[in-house]
Amino acid sequence: MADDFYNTLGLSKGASDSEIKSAYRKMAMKYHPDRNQGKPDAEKKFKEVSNAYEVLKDPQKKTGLRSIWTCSF
Amino acid sequence: MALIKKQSGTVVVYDLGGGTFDVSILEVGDGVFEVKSTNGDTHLGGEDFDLRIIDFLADEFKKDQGIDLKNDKLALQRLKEAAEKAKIELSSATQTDVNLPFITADQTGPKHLNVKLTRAKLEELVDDLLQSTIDPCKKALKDAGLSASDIDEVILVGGMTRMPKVTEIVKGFFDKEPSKGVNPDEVVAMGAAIQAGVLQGDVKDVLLLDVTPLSLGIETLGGVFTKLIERNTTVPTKKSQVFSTAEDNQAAVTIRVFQGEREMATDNKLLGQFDLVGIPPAARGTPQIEVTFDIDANGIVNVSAKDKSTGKEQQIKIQASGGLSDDEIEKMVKDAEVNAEEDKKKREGVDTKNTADALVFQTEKNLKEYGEKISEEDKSKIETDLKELKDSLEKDDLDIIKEKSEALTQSSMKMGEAMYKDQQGQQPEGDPGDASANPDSKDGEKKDDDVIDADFEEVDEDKSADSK
Repeated sequence: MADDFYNTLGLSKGASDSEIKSAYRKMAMKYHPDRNQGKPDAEKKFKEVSNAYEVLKDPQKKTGLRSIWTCSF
Repeated sequence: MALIKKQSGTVVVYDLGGGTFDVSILEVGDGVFEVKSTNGDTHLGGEDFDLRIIDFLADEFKKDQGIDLKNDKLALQRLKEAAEKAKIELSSATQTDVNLPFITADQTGPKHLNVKLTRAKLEELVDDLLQSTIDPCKKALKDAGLSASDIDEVILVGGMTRMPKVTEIVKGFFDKEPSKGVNPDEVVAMGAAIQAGVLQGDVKDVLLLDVTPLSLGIETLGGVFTKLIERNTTVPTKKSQVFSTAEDNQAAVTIRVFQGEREMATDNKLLGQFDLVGIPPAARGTPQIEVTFDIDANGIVNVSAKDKSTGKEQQIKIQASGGLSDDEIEKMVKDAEVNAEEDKKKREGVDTKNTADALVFQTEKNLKEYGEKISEEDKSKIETDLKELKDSLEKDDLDIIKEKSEALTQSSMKMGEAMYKDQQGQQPEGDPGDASANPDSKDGEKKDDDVIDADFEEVDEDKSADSK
């Protein structure tokens, strides 16, 4: 599941904060409905991108992700 | 456009217009303008400043001539125009004369108004109004998780910001000179034109990411407000959370959608509600009802509830305008602050009871299954603690409920040990399986205070029991 967030932004797991922000902005530009009038798929993708960014940009949420990861036995 | 392209950093837009004050914090970079937070005062604007001048002029006239001009409609209109004119003049001059000949008349003849107004006097008359713009700035910074020193640029918008004192106040708070690169009267029109260009596809390198001003969520067990979308979340957005039933064999759930910041649902604005029926009989906490909030590009809120076992789904659409007005939004945010302490207590009270309730249920269930596998002594201790907790729930004393919950959790650990040994005996690998995350929720996890079963169950999903 955690992989999904990085994948959604087209990033590898070790991406830095500035890489994450930059990737989000590129994706936002590409998929935001304002720039994709009448394309529901773009809107759907934008929402996924936003959610991924919301988790990855927040150190607490990001750490939460990591601890779930490393928990697998 | 070149200017916009180069822009990068954190910007505050301080907009003091004719009737309202709005402060927005944006993060800018790579052509993307991301709103981080907004705040303001829907009843503060240039007109309020004019009123102060009008009052002053009328008071001076009354002192001088003994007549209250505010009772005279025509005089009042002239005062209004003169006040606005004086205000504007005092942005460049340090004093001005207000001359209104033949402003009124009485038995002794016509009266004329002639009052000198200095910039210093004006600043004194409106000082509290200016100071009142600081608090929204503080709150916007707090919501954005920033401090004044994090701000790279301050942009002034609205004719009222031409007043030198405004620049001084803004500079004092943000510790930097407001940007002089934009004309405060034109900047709103410019922004609108740019956004129109973006929507039409003519402007390709700019994107505005706006946010929803208030949190959205549903009412859950005990009447608390469970947020699914936090305020200042970029829109469009889609968030889901899985909930469950509060009673055994509960066949339906009512989804009540609220907008606001208060901890108890009914203190917020009810936007709509609907039922999801046909939930197959099951022990409470077992069904998985996925609730999704989806705000689309037009600001319409789609709320759906889906029973994951049957696939049955219900939904409603809420118009963007069906929520709170700007005034109401502002009041909501203020009320939430004023009542924060009390709201928090109420919520904790509900959470404590819900947790205790779930603990009783779970312990009884486990005693049935594992009671035999522990010593009589341990079992009897658990039963005692269980009874005491049940009694405390009847008495409704929160401190005692907490105490008894703790006690039962402690004594129940013996049972937990027995359960693990039991499972390890059955599975050679000793694999506890699932992590605490709900595998079905795709978005950032919300920590759920209701979950207390981690000691006993191997499958633990984030869930809040839903009120029926």
